[in-house]
Amino acid sequence: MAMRRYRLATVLALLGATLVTAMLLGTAFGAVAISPWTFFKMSLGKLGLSFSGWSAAEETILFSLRLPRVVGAALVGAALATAGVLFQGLLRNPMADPYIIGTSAGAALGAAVALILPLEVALYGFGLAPLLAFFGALGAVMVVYNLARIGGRTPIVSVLLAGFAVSSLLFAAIALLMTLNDRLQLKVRAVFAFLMGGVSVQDWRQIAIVAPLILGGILLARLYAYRLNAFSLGEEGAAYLGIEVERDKLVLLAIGSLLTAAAVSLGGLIGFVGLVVPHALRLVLGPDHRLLLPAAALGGAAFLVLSDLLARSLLPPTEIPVGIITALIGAPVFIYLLRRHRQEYAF
Amino acid sequence: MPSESCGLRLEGVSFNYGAEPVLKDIYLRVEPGEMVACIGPNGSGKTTLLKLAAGVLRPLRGQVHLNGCDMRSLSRRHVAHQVAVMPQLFHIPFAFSVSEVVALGRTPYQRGLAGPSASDYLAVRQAMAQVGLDGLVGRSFQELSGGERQKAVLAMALAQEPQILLLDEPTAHLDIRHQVELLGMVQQLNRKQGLTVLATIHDLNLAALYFPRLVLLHGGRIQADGPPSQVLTVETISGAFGASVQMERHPGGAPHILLLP
Repeated sequence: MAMRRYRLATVLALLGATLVTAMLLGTAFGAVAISPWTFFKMSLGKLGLSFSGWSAAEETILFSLRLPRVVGAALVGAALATAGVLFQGLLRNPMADPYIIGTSAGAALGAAVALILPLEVALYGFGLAPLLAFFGALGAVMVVYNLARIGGRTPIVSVLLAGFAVSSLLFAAIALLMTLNDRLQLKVRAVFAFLMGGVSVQDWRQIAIVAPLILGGILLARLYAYRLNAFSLGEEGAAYLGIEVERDKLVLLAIGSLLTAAAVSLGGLIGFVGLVVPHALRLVLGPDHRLLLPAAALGGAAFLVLSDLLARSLLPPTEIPVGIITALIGAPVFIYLLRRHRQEYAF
Repeated sequence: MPSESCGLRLEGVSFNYGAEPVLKDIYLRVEPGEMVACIGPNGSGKTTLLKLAAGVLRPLRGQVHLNGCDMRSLSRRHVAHQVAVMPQLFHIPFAFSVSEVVALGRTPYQRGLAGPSASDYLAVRQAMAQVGLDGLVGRSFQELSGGERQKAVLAMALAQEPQILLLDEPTAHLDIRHQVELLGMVQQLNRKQGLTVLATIHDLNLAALYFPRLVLLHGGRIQADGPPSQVLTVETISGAFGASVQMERHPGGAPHILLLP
């Protein structure tokens, strides 16, 4: 028992330290390098202490551009990895990622429509595209859930199949929009950027809205961790263990979808984080969701902060879509873990 | 609690799958400390009866009472504190260790963020000792043989610390040694700890050996209910199963069925 607590604390402390290091690196490096020491002095300066030795430009870069983006990347990574754990556990499907039940297609269609509409909207720093992406993601999941619902029950397999069908339909609609882009004046490059993913935060107010949503979702998910363990036995097995299957399934799907929608509003469709971070951590830590959920949140955050740093600093001034980086790093790391843990990866 | 309101009672229970009636007007009482096997041909509704008793299916008509309370008024958590189910062999995704699988039996006692308590760990250790799996604590569940898996799933049900244990075909897919071992364990739990047992079982001879009371289901109704010597007769068995049989005696005294193909 003591061993388990000790292990839990060690793992979370290690991952927490990794996240802090990643965030410091992400803040220090970029087109203009700013040393952690300067960052430290600036932070103290912000707190009213008299320090000096930096330019106003450096301060703007750091506090208005880089730091919100680093915090945004951490939030998006944490949300995607947590949602990945939730969906893989609940759907008992190793290919489940945060987008599996229609969120990606809903978000993408929302963004595409926003990029056609000749409207300039800004709400707490959010443009029309992230707003419609957020609501598109949630709307698609609601359609999927209701399609899968038969006589008061929503079998998991039906959720998966309805998710696949709705996603196919919506992506076909997006493809049609992109085909007609000459007539619609669609900003195809912007749609493409959204589909490839990229963290973009213009305004601290965006963080102020998304952070409580994501942190609250992660906490709520952790409250449901032992129920998620019971769902490993399937819905019937979970019911025998005292789980209110339909109610808890709805709660878990809702948390996962809200986390994904919140992530999409800051980062577009970033692939791989939600699929590979949970699998990699499950290989190393085992499948107990009470440890896996917080570990995935920290690990996903650190992974996306580092990926975002590489995305903006590898080929300056070109910014590589972060989804490409997550796949380029994530796939080899995952293959390495898969090979090192020689025993068959049991799912 | 007065003894007549204890245990498990099905009062005029009917159940349909779609338009197909599976159980018709079933009255069944399982008293505390009894060990009952439900037998019958495929599709006779044995498993449905077990799921109704576990409260995961709701009867179309009639009521299921658990310790005097209508099952519909009880939360799943409350039911799981008193009734544990050992389902047929299932697939568990993820590489859970044996002790982690057994610890899933403590789910109805967990709350929110709190980790497992000392009593949870104790119950898990005891359950593993009761089925003789102490030596396999850290092993992966998926590496176990069929017989060991079935014991681990039994230990998971025991970790729930139930009054009533429901077993769905506990000996299916097991070799004869493991069949005897598993039913022997269940019998010991029933005799020594007064655990109430209701099982579905296909093997009529095993049922006759281990269960003092048999309930024969056929055509959605209880055709016979009583000790094996009463229930297992040439007439009832050939009537329910449509197979020609001959009755012999096991050296221990239980009826033994010979098939006459």
